[in-house]
Amino acid sequence: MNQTFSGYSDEEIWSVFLTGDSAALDCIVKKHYNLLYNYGRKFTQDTDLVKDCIQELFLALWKNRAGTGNTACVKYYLMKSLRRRLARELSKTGNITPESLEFLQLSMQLPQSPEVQKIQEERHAELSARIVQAISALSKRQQEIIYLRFYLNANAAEIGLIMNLSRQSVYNLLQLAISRLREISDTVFKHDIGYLLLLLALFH
Amino acid sequence: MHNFEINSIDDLVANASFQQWILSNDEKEGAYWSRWIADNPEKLEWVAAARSVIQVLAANTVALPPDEVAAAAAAIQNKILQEESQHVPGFDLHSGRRSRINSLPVRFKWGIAASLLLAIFAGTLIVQTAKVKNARAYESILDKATKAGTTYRNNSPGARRIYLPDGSEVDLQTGSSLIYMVEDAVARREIFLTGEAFFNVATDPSHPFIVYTSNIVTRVLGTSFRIKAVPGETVASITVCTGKVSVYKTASFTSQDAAEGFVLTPNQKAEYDIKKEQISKALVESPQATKKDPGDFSFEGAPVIQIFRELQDAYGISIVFDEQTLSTCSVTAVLDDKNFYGKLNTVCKIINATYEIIDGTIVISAKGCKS
Repeated sequence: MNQTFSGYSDEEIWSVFLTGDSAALDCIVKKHYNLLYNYGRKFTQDTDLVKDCIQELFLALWKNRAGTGNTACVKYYLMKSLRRRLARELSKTGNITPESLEFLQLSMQLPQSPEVQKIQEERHAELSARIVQAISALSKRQQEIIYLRFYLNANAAEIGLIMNLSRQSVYNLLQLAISRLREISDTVFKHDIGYLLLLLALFH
Repeated sequence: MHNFEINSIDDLVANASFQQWILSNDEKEGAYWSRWIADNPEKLEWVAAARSVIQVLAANTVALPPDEVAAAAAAIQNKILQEESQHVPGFDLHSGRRSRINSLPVRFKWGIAASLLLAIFAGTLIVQTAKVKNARAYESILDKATKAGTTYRNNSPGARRIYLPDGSEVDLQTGSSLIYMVEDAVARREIFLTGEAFFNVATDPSHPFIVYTSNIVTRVLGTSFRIKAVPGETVASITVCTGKVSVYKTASFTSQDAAEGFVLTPNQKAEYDIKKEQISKALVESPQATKKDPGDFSFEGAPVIQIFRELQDAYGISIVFDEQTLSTCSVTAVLDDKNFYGKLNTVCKIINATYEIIDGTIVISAKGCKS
């Protein structure tokens, strides 16, 4: 991390970048590279394409900084730009239209935790499988919204910005997804006192 | 210590502290959540489900090794450097200095030539004794500062950040310079600026921070703002980001009489028309919310007076209206994805009102609503 900008918020660094300071841009790049890389990989398995798009995104930002204003949240602004760029690139190869950029299926990959007992691990795998199943049943848009809301802590307005949706449609899609989550947590645990006891042991 | 309101499983999934515990096994967060589970045993199923959701969402996330990120960032910096030196014909490699005029497109050069001409005419035609006297007053202060103060100059192609001894920070633009001087006798921090700079002033109420340019003077206590006073340009401007500043004509500030000035608040700017010698106050083109958490601007049957007050509060821009006329108007609208003017236009349209911007203030004219 660039030392001169430590203690600065993203938005402060951004306003310095807008004045034509390439060190500020460098700091923004380093700070958000991992986030952008991982977000990009949710749309394509072509990691080189993701890296190219990130580079092009920052070069374009630098070139157009005169026409760029301050932004309330740098992180989400960058994600929105990357998403748009990826959609454009992916549509060139012919598979999709820019509008139909699709979130790749969320998949299950359980962390290895050898210290946890086998039986807990199995129950946990079962629960995760049901959650993956439920999330997979959602539309791709809803999956992306869930990812943004619950993994990257974006609020409805920010999700709307990134995905170019109205706040109302974000709300509707999110509500549906959440009610499905609630259903799972209700059905999975009904009549399963034994599992609850196991969990108690696990979390203590 | 934390005190979260967890009313549903989604509150839990979206909780940053909870996520941190699940994903990085953070001990401190873990201690909190273990206690929380002990206090709320009936919510254990939420915890289990939320844990799975977070793990599913985080699956396949990789952290690139730091040297790979550094390499990618370096590649971006190299490309920028390459393009800058290719596209700027006026860039002189020997001195590292860019000659401003050469790097501009042809039509701008004519613009500059024209404004220089204007400046020369204005300078030769209007010669008033009072003006000469005031200009001399400024010159003599500047002369003193040049000798006693510290001079900073930016000849590099990009903006340069300067840390002043009082803790203030200044981003000085290419080709600009400033002199910093502390006047102990009058307890003032004084800056003499030529060109353009963004100031982030360290608060020190006992030592006002005063920025002089040849035409305008800005006086602040602690705040951030931008000044643009480039020699040869016909308009000098000051834009306020946070806090309040007072703006004066330099001639008036340096004269013996009481200085006439006015106050700028965030999202307002002052422009000095050098030819007309007039300062005018306006709003910036795209006002930014000045409040940290401006709310979501969704209203259901809300009195329009309340909406205007919330707008005023969020953007620090004063809105003037007749309370009695508007007391019967109420509005249902979601305004959160529009900018300041978008919000204002929507509300005005709904209540069939119009607005004018006078002196950096929004003035609403409306006929009122039938109840």
